[in-house]
Amino acid sequence: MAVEYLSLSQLLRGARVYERLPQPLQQALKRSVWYTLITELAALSLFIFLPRDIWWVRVQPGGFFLGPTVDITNTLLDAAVVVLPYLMVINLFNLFLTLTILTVSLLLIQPVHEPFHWLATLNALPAGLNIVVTSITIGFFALIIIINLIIWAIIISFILGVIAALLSSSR
Amino acid sequence: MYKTNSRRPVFVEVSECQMLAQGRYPEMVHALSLRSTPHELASLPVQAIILQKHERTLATAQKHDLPVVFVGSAPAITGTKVFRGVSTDWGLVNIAEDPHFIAEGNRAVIPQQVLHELKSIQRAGLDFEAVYVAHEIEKNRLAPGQMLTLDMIAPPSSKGATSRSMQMSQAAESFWTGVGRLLLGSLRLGIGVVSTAAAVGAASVSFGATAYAYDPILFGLHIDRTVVIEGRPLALWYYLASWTWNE
Repeated sequence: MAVEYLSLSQLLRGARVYERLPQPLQQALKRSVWYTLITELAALSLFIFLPRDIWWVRVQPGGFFLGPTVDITNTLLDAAVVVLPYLMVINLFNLFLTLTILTVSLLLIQPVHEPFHWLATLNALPAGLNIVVTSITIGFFALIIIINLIIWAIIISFILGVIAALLSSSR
Repeated sequence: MYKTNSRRPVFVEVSECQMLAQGRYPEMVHALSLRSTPHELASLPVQAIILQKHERTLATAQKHDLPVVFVGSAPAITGTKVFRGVSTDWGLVNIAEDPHFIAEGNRAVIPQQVLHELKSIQRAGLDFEAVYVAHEIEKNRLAPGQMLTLDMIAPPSSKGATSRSMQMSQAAESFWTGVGRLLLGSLRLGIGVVSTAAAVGAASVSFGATAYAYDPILFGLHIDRTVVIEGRPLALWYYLASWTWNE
């Protein structure tokens, strides 16, 4: 069998630069990509499965919500209606980037070129901010509901106390 | 330095004094034992055209201040030739048969600076019919007759790229830890913190494990196919470049 030789010029034509070789993603960056994917899928699912009516729902005074919590709740709902579609567009684009990283790296197994490392790092920002904004909004709603529940509990306890006092005094 | 006759064969002698032996890689030169003694070379017939190439190579290298150094005359081997060194051994192989070259889809992986030097050799008008690579390997890892394997010679990840990748990784981890802290108030994400520490530790360990990298050396050959020794054509060997991974 004839031995193949490779000339210097042939070698240089196909040479790859060592410093630019693909690198495996670090463990923490891999986790970040998975967190990002989960966050995006959760946010998109929330958006898709949220009842359509919720966009037009506003709380009315004289119901469960008491005093200034009515205005705060409605302001939050108005803000959510304005911000949410933009968030979802960003999420959708970010999901596309996450899926690109997963595809190129064959589910984060194969080494990838440095730009993909940067992409994976920056990819976490919108997802993280999204989860913070969504959580703060939901947290606020939960807080308002808890405050109202406490107020209602106090009112009901007070009324029950008054009734109990009246009943005991009438005897 | 060279004895030339009007009639072929032409005989080549090599100077006793070799730059390489006094330079950065004296051990390598001695270990490879490629330098033929004048006595040995005197018995080897070399074609006039090869001698012309040799003279032109040396003249061009001198004119352009290239790192090309004539090492000696030896057959262009097939397979892996093992040379015992002092603290490490060397496996010499045709680059076309190099396991890393093959694993990279028949493409050589060379540091940018070295690639620049090799291109300057090419730009000066020099070319070599064959390129061989000597891989420094662990002592007694390779027995004579055995072939080099990828795990013996695969270079570690680039230090710069690894460092940047680790920084990005830590930035991402810090970001998610921050998000976790923000969401859970002062409560830390225990798993996150533990895994960060583990990841940083593991990264340090893996970097430490790959920090020691063996040196490859590239040789260029002018092959004289008319002279066959032990079934292999005779070649004039030239040092072209060498480097340390992660330097």
